[in-house]
Amino acid sequence: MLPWWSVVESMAEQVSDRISRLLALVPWLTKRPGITLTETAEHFGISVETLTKDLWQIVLCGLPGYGPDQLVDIDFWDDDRIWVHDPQTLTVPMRISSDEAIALSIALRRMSQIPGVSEKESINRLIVAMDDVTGAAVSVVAPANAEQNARSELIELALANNLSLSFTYSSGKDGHSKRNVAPIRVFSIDDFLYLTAWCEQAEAVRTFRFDRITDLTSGEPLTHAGVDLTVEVTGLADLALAPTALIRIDPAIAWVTEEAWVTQAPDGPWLRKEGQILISVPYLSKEWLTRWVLSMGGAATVLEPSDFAEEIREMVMKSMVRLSK
Amino acid sequence: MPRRDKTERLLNLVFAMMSTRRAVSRADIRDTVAGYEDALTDESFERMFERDKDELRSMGVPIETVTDAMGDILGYRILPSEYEFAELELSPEDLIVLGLAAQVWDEAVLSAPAQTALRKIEAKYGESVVSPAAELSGLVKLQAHDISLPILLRAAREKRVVKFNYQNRSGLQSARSIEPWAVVCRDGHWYCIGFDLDRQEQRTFKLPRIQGSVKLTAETHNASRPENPSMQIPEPDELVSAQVTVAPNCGAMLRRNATLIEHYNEGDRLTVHGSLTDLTQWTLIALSDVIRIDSPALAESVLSASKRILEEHAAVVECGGIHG
Repeated sequence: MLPWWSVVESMAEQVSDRISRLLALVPWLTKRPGITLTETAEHFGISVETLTKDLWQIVLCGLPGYGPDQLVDIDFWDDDRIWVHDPQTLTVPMRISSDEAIALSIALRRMSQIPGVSEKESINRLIVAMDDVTGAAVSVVAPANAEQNARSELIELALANNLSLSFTYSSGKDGHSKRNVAPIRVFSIDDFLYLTAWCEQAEAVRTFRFDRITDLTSGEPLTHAGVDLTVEVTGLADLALAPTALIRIDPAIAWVTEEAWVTQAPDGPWLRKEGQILISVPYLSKEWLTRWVLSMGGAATVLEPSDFAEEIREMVMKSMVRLSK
Repeated sequence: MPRRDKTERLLNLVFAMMSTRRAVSRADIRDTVAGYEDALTDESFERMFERDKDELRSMGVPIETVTDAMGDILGYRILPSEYEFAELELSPEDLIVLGLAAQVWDEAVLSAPAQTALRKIEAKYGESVVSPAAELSGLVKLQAHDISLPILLRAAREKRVVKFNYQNRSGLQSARSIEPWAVVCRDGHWYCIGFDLDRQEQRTFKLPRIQGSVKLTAETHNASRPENPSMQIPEPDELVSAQVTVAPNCGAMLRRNATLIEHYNEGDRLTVHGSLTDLTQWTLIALSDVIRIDSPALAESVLSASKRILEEHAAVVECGGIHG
């Protein structure tokens, strides 16, 4: 007997992604006679190998009877080019599905929240169009508080009017420092905002996280004289090259092993309780790792480097004395 | 005879239902659509067809059930007018914006549907969506990799109940039945907000702590959904309010979540609301810069966590590290 609720396993998602792609592929190719396999694969964000498999799949399909005149007819074996001879009923693309509209709608909403993005009118129009498809919005990035909004507005204004910015920046590595910068652009990863700017103190282009910026004021119009503002966006520093720490975690926070940057280490003599796990964590600064360990409230213990454990112990001890007064 | 691929069977079903203005009956589908010959019994055909039909519908394929005057089912069809792309007026600027929007998901979990949507738009208008210029690419990124995200979004949209195993903060696993309301990203983490049917309460779930797959059930929502559940993330714990004084410019996480910031000589006094667990965590992160905690409950929680951190690390130091 079937269970009372019908089950759609997450595995089925992959079949539906593929079918959606195949249904979009045929009319798309029909409009682009002679396009190359490489270009098509790039457009659909898949490999040429996957595309070739898709095409082999679709030419096996068609109308009941499945004779030569009833099958989809696509020619893709000559010099890398694709020609659709008979798309059967797939002459037009299917309307955008709710899943697709949601993916775009979430992305558009996030874009509309980024200071300095100029196409706001177009973004808002497209959000309305996507919401017409889905019926409702079901995801947002958490709203900012008044301080964050004020900061974003000031940075947006500076970008639009080419003004310099001054602020105090707190980073794990350098503590607090006064910065005068020429803003270049703003970008975001998940719900964090970052400012890329030419920094007078560093005499180089630097990236600053919004929530570590305080005492922000905007200043003089910029001239950019003699400053090279071409930026190569490298994103965040490469964790693969960072040193690693050996950390023991309690079963209560075993979920951290799911984080992309955590690797499980082989069991060692340091496991003292049932269910404890050893993990290896790359770190770009000791300050970052210290904050991470502290945030786990005792469920994560640094084992290596061993002098690190000593530093954490001393810092916590000092803080406890101060806070117990 | 080799078994046909499921993708092939589903595509053949779409072609068959599109090719007729009348309807294709179940009997016709079983006899003529390639792929259904794998069903050896009536029962297995029915099961296979029902699943296929549901799956295509969930992809947005508009399968219409055609009935006669008595309400008996004659068959199924896909009408071109229902299938086709609705008119959407797009300016050249819109094409650039759409190109950027699809990039937001990058390699993340909603990348495939976003890309497919763009290809449909291109097939409809003949014009290519403009790939963003280098200086614009990477402007906005969403990095959710949890395979549960698309299913939770669909469940929220279709107001359906989901079931999954969840590991809570204490590491305990339990089976949950949830009516998902919204999926929210905060502080770089993805959460699902919904109504927990067993606990009869609104709850928040961190996506990476969902174990295994999320099962989408046919059951629909009963609990009344708040007007805008995504505007706040209520925590399972009781919400508390606390004042924490930190050194100027310090305590980014506390500041991010502060409702009031007052500047004094000794430092900035932040008023923060949240669950005690979150407040403790944010305070611990800034520990070396925390000057005073004015709320007894938070002070006690922070000090007891500190004591634990101290004890755990003291043991390591005494033994002189792992090689000691």
